[in-house]
Amino acid sequence: MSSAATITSSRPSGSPVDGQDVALIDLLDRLLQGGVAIQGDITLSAAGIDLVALDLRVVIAAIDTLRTPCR
Amino acid sequence: MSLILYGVCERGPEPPPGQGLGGRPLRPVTAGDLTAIVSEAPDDLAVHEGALRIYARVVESLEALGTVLPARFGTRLANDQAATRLLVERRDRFVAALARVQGAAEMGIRATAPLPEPSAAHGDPGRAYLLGRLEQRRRAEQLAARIDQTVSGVVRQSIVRVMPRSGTLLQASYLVTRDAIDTFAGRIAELGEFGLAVTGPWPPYSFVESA
Repeated sequence: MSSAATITSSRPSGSPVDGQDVALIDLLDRLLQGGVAIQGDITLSAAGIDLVALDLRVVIAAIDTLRTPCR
Repeated sequence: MSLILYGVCERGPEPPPGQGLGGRPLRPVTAGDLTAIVSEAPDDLAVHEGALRIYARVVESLEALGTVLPARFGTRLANDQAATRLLVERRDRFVAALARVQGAAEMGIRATAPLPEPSAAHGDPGRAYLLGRLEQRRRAEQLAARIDQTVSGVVRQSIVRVMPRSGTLLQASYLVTRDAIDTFAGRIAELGEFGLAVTGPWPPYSFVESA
């Protein structure tokens, strides 16, 4: 498993995206598996590979390879 | 040309603030008493971390307009007519979901699995592995029960997954009324568990699946 997850044990305060060290996994779980979805209309691509219906672990691995140098 | 959908909210007088992915301006598409917040889609919707964070910030900013049902990242609509159709076809579900999450936010708890201990099972690695997994599951279920007990009075809804993937002992999302968030966080802290990642408040991504 990649080291994408960061472990913090802190009281939440303000924006979970900017104000904390939010682990990628927490973002991925919500943004890619939650939310209002329209069947068949979501097309995601990473390096030309369709990510629809892939296991979340594969998505994490794919994103790690795409991780931009500056966050 | 296609659109990105960011969320669905009640029709309101305010225009959505700012920009979406690729610097495209956010705009509303309204049908009846609902509004879809969209932007023109950027040329390449790549799934990289920067795009996810931008998207999450945009959805968060929409909450200034009121209750929002966040859209899954990457949701596209062909055009405004498609957005209108979506709002009309799913009106009752959207209205019900908005009522369900109104005034509440999502809190997340994630417990990571500790590193496996050296095998004490007399040199049988397969058996040691299985015993280790059973033990982890037992601890995860215990932790889930402890958390559930301590927050049951302050959450509207919860989704708890025991050992959803390797490395994660427990993953849970809670729909918490906004003015109960501090109480929620305080009760979790009082459990004194190490290795809990508490995140939030989030827009209610995990509680809109039926919308």
